[in-house]
Amino acid sequence: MMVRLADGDRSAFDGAYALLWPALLAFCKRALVPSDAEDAAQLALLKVFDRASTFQRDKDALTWAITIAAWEVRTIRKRHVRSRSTSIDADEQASPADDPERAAADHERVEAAQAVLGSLSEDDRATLAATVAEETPAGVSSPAFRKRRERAMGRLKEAWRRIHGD
Amino acid sequence: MATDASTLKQQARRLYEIGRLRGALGWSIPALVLAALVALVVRQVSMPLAIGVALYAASVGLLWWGRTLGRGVLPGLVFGLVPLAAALFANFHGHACIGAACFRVCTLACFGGGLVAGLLIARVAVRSPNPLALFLSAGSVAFLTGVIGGACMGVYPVIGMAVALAFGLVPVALRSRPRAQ
Repeated sequence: MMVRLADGDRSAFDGAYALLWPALLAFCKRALVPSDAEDAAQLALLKVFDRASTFQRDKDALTWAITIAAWEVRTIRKRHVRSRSTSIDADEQASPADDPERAAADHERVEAAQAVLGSLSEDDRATLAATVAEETPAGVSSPAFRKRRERAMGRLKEAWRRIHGD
Repeated sequence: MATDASTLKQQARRLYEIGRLRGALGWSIPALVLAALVALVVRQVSMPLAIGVALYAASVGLLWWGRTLGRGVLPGLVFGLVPLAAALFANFHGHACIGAACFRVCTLACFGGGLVAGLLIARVAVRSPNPLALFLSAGSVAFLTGVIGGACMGVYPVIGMAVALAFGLVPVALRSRPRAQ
């Protein structure tokens, strides 16, 4: 269908649309919350048709369309991460003393994190600290540090589950 | 962003057409480059560039439309170089002398170039599922390509080129007839 569309056969448009839209929407729904999923799927669909004339006949059409959708999903996720970090920055600027409830919740969170971190070994804590600081400790190769970080993260998750549940 | 289904479909359709047009505009640029090169070679700007723009417009239209007509653009442009080269050659060596008698060979060169291009296009067209459409598309592009070089020599070389190109229709018609039957 996409090959015909790339060739200029307009009669393939309806068929391609009917096949692609549900597939892209289903893919995006698995990766994002429903409202974001629809936005991502719509953007992906429009990009697919915008680039339809450049589609290469040796490629698999669905894989190609899903790749475009994956980029849209990634973009929306990145946007969310960015906006979340902006709101955290804004929260940090406000004084916790202004809101006693929030101050208490923050205190609880810090205590919970301390309890979990306290149950880890000194090495794991150092590894996690280096990860947060986006540094690789001197004398440790990058692959070795990556493995160490994976193990430390695994133990951190396990400790959190053990202390605070899922 | 949330849009209802019919609006989304219309948007998709519009973007599809825009995408095709964008691609056609880009892929047709060699036609303008060719016209500019010919203008440099013959040291005449207006005629080669005017026909170059016409060739560009034809190429954009055919590529945007696509299918068999779109597929004819590349062979038309490539095989159109034959009458173009013949016309350029005739432009610089425009007469032949036999004994004391000298005569202009522009029309003859353009006719020869057009004939070769027509037969080459016919050879490609007969392998296509729609030979006539491919021949007409490629033939018109080849004609415009050839005319870039031949137009400055007058109307007869151009007519000669068109007639010679049309000879390519003979094998296309012969090959199309058994299929139609």
